[in-house]
This record gives sequence, structure tokens and C-alpha cells, in this order.
Amino acid sequence: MTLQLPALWGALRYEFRMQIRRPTVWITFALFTLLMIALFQHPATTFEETYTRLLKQESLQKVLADWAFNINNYLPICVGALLAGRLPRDRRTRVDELFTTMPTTRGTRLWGKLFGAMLATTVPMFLIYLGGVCFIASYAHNLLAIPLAFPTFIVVALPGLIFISAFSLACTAFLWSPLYQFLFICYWYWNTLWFHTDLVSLSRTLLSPIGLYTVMGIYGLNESSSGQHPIHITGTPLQAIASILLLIATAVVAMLALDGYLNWRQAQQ
Amino acid sequence: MPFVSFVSLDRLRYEVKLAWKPLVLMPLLLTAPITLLVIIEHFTRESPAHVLLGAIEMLLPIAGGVLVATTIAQDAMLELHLSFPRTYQRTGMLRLLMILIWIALLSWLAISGDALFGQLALPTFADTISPIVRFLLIQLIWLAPLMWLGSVGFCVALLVKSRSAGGALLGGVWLLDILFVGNIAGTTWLRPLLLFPTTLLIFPANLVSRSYFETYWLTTRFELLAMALVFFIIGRLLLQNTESLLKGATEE
Repeated sequence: MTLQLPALWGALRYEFRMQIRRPTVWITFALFTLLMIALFQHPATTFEETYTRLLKQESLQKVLADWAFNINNYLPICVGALLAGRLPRDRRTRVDELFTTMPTTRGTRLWGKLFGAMLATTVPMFLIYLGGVCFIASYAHNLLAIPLAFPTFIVVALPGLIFISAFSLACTAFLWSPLYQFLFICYWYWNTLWFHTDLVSLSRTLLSPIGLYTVMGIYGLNESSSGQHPIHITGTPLQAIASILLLIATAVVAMLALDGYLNWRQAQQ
Repeated sequence: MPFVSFVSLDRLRYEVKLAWKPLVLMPLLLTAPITLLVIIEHFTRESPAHVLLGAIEMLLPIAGGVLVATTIAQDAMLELHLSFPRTYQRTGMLRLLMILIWIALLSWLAISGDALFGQLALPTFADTISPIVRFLLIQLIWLAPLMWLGSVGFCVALLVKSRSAGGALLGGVWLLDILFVGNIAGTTWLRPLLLFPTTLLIFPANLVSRSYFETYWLTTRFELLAMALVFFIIGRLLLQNTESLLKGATEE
């Protein structure tokens, strides 16, 4: 898989513009966020109650990491499911055959598609995160929260988003996209949010895409940060770095496998 | 409109031929991990009855909902179909009914098997009610979430006109409903959104009191069915505007 930077940039820009202009991306995030706001209306779990209490006990950086972690628990469901339609779209609209005539490799286009579509789908998620950061900044009376929020989001959320985006592209090459969506949602429940020890799952491993080891190892969140349901996991800085690297490396492997599979399929035709 | 005139057998056979893969594959793909889970759970502290109940109440309805959400608003031949004397509205309704009846049949078979092998616990006061009422109560376990998720999937598909967005929204609702079951049950105005109380709140049902059962299970089942009816009516009205679906097909 050789990369050509101008073509990669072109593919990225094209995919970004196409995805960010889709009203469904914004509608999905808006409805999902409204639902989450409604579900957090229980007096003990409202945003205001949780974060004013947390600000009294913890540093601003830790509170921001907790917010990024909370966002990263739920909103990647939308990212993964919305990206599931990107690769089948090329096939359905028959532009994939047209793309093969262009003077660039398929690998370059795939990477451009991954980054462009992922970044565009992450924009609504980031804006929701930023909305929460503004509230935290006002509760804390500290504008430093806003510049601190950017690196926190990149470190906590981005490796997991790259991981799930790569799989959303790769799996839909051979799976019917609604079926992939269904399996992805089941995966998200079982392998990221299911912390019980009595059943095998990836949620307590370094492959957890919600940034579990990152928030514990780098930002120092501890098991009590998970509120009423402590998960009894601790993370070291080394584990946090290993988790980030492992997630990105797995995404790279998924993309290489996708490229290999598409080349093989083309050779079969 | 009687069902016989609504659909001819040839037409039904054609629709089954078109959709048999997802209709069969999705429940089959569900069965495999559930069987695995039952085996695993056999060696852990959860009971297999709980896992089976969860599969019937939580997994089959979402499979139906996702199928509806991703099937109704998209058709490769939609433009051609709009020129036919047979309206797309009728085709859409036929597809919706086909998916819901198929998933309902699977759910009924599964819950009957569950009850037959003594894996389904009912509240103790249910022993005194008539067998017909008891049978109907048991069917409410899967019927209410299936109808709600199916009808919401129907509306969402027609509103957002996108397969991926429909699946994402429905999946999100399903997941949040499971994760926030405590919050939903504890907030009165949110309680009608309690989709899976049989598995998540009242299991094993033979230990719950009558008032608890009525508040968290029986009332919410009827509320879900009433909401489903409203969503179906809205969906039916949205389906009348078939030309707008073409916009969705290009926007995807």
C-alpha cells in the first residue's frame, strides 16, 4: 500500500466535504444527544450535579478527561454506524470502478476516505464535547478549560475513533451494512461497556476503544470516578501508551486487510 | 383493506425472494452468540433462563427494528417503482408487515420453547389468572419492544431517509435504554420508555410484588404499544410522500 500525499489530501477533502454536508449526520447526533440529556435527568446524574461535585474534588484537567471519557462512551456509536455506509456507497453508485482509472492507488483513496469521513463525523461529536467544556469552564470560572479540552479530546477519544472507523470501513466490504451496524452495536455493549468479570469481553483490555486505560494512566482517573458502579481497573501511563498504540496499530492492520481484500476481489472479477 | 387483496401470493413470494438473506441471516447470526452465551453462562453465576429471556426480549426486537429502519426508505428500483400503478406505499407496508410477522413468529417460537422447558418464570399471582390471559401476558414480553422498535425504525427511516442514520439512531436508543434502565425506571415521565423490564428489572419475575409488576411492567407494555400505534400512523402518513424518498437515495 503506497501513499501519494496529494491524492491522499484530495480524497480526504472530498470525503470530508461529502460527509459533513449530509444532514443525516447532524440529525443523528442531535437526536442522540437529546435522548442522552433526557436520560441524564435523574437528580443524581445530571451534568450540572456531576461536574460541580467533581470540580470540588478534582483538578480541571481530570474533570475534562472525565467528560471526554463520558462522551467517548456513547457517541462513537453514531460515528461507527454512520461510517458503515461509506464504502458500500461507492459500490452502489458505481464510482469505485471509475476511481480505479485514476492515477492513484486504492490504498491512498482508502486512507483518504477513512480520515475524511471520520473527521467529518467527529465534528458534531466534538461540538457536543465542546458544549460540555464551556459549561465546565463556567462552573470552574476558568477559561483554561477550553485550550486544555483540545489535547484531552485527541488523546482520549481519537485513537478509539480511528479504531472503530477503520473497522466500519473494512467490515462493510464483505458484510451487509445494516448487519454490520447491528453487530457493531452489540460489540459496543458487550466489548466496551460490559465491565462484569464473569463473561469474557474486550472491555477491560488495552483494546477498549473508549479510552479506559488512557484516562486512568495519563490523566489519573481512578475506579471511583466511575460513580455508582466502580469497575476496579487501574491503569499505568505505560498501559495508556500501549493502549493508544495498539488501537492505532489494529486500525492500520484492518485497513491493510481491506486493501488486500479489495485487490483480491478485483482480481477475481 | 383485506390482507388477501392487499397482497397476492406471487407478490409475497417475490418480496421474500428479495429479502430472504437479511431476514434469515440476522436471526441466525443472533442465535449463534446466544447459544455460546448460554453455554458460557452455564459455567458462571448468571442463569441460562436469563440469557434466553434477554435474547427474546432485547435482541430479536432490535433485529426487527434495524431491518425495518434499513429496508423501508431504500430501494434500488425506487424511481422505476414510482412509475408503476402499484404504489410504493403498498410495497413499503408489505415489507414492514413481512419483517414484523417474521420476527414475531421467531419470538413466539422462542418464548414458547422457553416456557415449555420451564425456563420462564411468571409472578406468583399469575397462577390464578386464566390460561388465555397468561398466554397473552407472556407474548407482551417480546411484542411491546418489537412493535415499538419496529414503528420507531419505520418513522426514523422515512424521516432521515438514510440506512446508516436509521440503524445508528435505533441502535443508540436500544443501547441507551439498556445502560440507563435505572434512570428510566426511577424517573416517572421517562418510564414509558422502559423497553426491556422483563430481563433488566423484574427477573426472576416470581419474586416481584403485584404493584411493582404493574408499575414497571404491565403499564409500560401498554404504553409502548400505544406509542407504537402512534408511530405507525405517522410512518404511514410519511410513506405517502414517496417522491421525497428519491432525495434520500441520492443523499445517502
